[in-house]
Amino acid sequence: MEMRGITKRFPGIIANDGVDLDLRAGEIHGLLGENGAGKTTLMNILYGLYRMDDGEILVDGERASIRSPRDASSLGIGMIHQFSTLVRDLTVLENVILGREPSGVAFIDLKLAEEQVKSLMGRYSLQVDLGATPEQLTVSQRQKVEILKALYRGARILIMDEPTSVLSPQEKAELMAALRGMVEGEGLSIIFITHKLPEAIAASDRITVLRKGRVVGTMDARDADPRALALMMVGRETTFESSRSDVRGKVVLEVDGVEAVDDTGRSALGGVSLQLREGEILGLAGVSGNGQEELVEVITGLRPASSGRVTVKGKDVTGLPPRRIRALGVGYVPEDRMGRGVLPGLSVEENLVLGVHGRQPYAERWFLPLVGVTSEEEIRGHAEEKVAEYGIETPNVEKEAGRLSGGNIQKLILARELSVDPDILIAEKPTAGLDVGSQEFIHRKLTEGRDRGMAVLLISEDLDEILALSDRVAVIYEGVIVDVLDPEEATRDEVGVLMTGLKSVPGAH
Amino acid sequence: MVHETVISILSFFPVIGLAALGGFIGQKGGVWNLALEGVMAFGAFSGVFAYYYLGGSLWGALLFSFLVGVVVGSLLSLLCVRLGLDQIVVGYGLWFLTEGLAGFLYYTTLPSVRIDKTFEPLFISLDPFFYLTLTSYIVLHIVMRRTRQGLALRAVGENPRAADVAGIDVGRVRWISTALGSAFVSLAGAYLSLVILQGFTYKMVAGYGWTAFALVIFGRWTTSGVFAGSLFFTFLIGLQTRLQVAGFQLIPPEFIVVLPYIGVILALSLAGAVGRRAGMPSALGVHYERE
Repeated sequence: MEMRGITKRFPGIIANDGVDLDLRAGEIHGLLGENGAGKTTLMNILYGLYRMDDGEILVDGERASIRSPRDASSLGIGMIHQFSTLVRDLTVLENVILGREPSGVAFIDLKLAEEQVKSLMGRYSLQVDLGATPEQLTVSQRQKVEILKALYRGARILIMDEPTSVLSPQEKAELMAALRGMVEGEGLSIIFITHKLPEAIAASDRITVLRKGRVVGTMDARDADPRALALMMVGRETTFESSRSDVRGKVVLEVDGVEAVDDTGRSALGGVSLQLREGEILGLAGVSGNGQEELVEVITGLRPASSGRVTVKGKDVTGLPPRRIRALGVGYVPEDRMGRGVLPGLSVEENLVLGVHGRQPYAERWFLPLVGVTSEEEIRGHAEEKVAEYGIETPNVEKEAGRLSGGNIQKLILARELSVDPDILIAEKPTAGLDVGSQEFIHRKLTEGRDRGMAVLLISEDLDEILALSDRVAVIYEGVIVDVLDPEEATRDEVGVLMTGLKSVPGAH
Repeated sequence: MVHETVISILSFFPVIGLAALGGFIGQKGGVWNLALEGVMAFGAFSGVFAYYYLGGSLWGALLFSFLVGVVVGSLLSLLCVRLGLDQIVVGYGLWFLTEGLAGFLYYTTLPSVRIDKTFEPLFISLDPFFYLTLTSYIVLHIVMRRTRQGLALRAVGENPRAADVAGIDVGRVRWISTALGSAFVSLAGAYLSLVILQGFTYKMVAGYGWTAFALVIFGRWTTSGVFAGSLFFTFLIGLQTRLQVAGFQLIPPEFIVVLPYIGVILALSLAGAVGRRAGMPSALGVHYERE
């Protein structure tokens, strides 16, 4: 199988830009890259879920037109998605044969189906209870069912999208062994998508690295230099100007041995400890999905910690509701702008007073301003001032916040969070997806705040941003802070290597 | 005496049974049809309409009504499945539209029609339609379990993305299930006007459509559950009419009239307390789009 010059544009971004990828028979090909590098998009094109804008796909040397998953599957391409494709209401057997049921005149031949699936289970040593429903199975058993599903459809090329992210280490090892067996015993080819470097190296024969929608390189896994791979993944160019502060005040935020689980109940934080001081920007570097999100949620009170303590200015805030934590002077610029940052249906002016809307001068006692009450003018005045100061582009302050562009929404959020002069600001990927102008503006606001004595926790996947802005850099990997570095001394190579989980590689601290 | 009572109660079964069956098929595919009440009324009207203009054939009138149901269901599907509009809003709108239109069209296009034919009893004093309803349930039960169409329907209501990935055309299956479901509901209305009440009046459906809707939930989205629920409610209605006819002096007639509905509320609360959302198709009411 070969993909040539694949290009896919989504409104505003190019997800894949002239990507070439070739897959040999009987190999496991690792597709490595950060989140948002375009790995899944590329594979969704191969599987017929997305249409490519440009490029061609060849299967067995012949040009293939893949317009739907059905086309892909008739070419022998199967995909194991990150989301479950099992139907809760159906048995395992029914799930496996769904869409390809062996049928007589009217009825499905369940006996024949069972024989077929059983012989597959034997051949690939994937044992599952066919009569069970998906709910009765463990995650790794469900994954086996997904693989069986693909094999039942005659897949010779298996695409596995981040298959290990939901598995325990032991299950991971089992999966790897099973995949290896399929490749060597049965001549299948597997594309293995991952953002975890050690896994890619361990599992693959060859590795292709994607970054920002482009192929950075393809190499044999055996000869691959992990450090070089890490750099290929996170990139090299520096585009930000740096400015640092030497002023370090007292500790205002302390995270001590915090553990927490993610939404699926898996451990996401395995004892994180951090100290954030007045007048510094602490950069938290890491490939996304390594616990950053959960850490931020624990600090802001959105997620309970299963153990450990969070202290704000000497006060234990663990388990306090977000409102109380905010009141202590913790501002939060969330990654999910539309979901958490603003109320998209409310106006710009209303969004700008959220959180303080119930207080003087915006409200009288318990009431929000009514028509004709002076505080309405306060809200308007406040909004107009902020719109001017932050250069928020909006026709008027009554416009729905959700209709602004991404950069302007972010400026609005930042304006609101900074308008109460917080002592601590948690900035979660504050410039992700923004144009250069907005990025610079936000960087300036963060450093200005820092120079006034605000403590900033900057979470970002963009290593350049982290290195340019931070006074100290903490690196998180799999829910643990693996190191805290001085950005003046640390090279991006070192940070990159730490981020991708290659602690033991010579040369890294 | 008891025998006759049971038979006469059961003769009402097609109305509730078919409406609930239709609601069931639609919901199983993942689309709420809140317009059941209106679709029934429209079915009732179109049955009488066809009876009058097609020369007094009961079977012809019922078939016509079934086809009208397909059209109404297709409209719902166009709005909700194809265009992705909110199923609650569209459902309410369609309810008002079809119910109002049924009344309006009846009084403007037809004289007062009196249905003068009935079905001959087929077996133990019950007409062929009763047995047709029973058969429909049995067939549906088998289709759901043993055919690819049945699997496709369940998959689409439960996990449309998985169905899509498995090569099932989600939009098409949902269109068919909505249209077919609506057709059965319309048929139930036609049976009510043509056979049971032998004429049309505005608001004659009197909540049976909503009851059928509730019975799908009560039946936990299983054929056997919906079937049992329909039978149960049929008996409650029968009991109510019997009590009224018997001229029960002790209980005020207004109370007797609401008896079946109280029964449904109790049954629903019970079902709700026991199973909560168990059995409900996971993607019920959720619009599916690929990108």
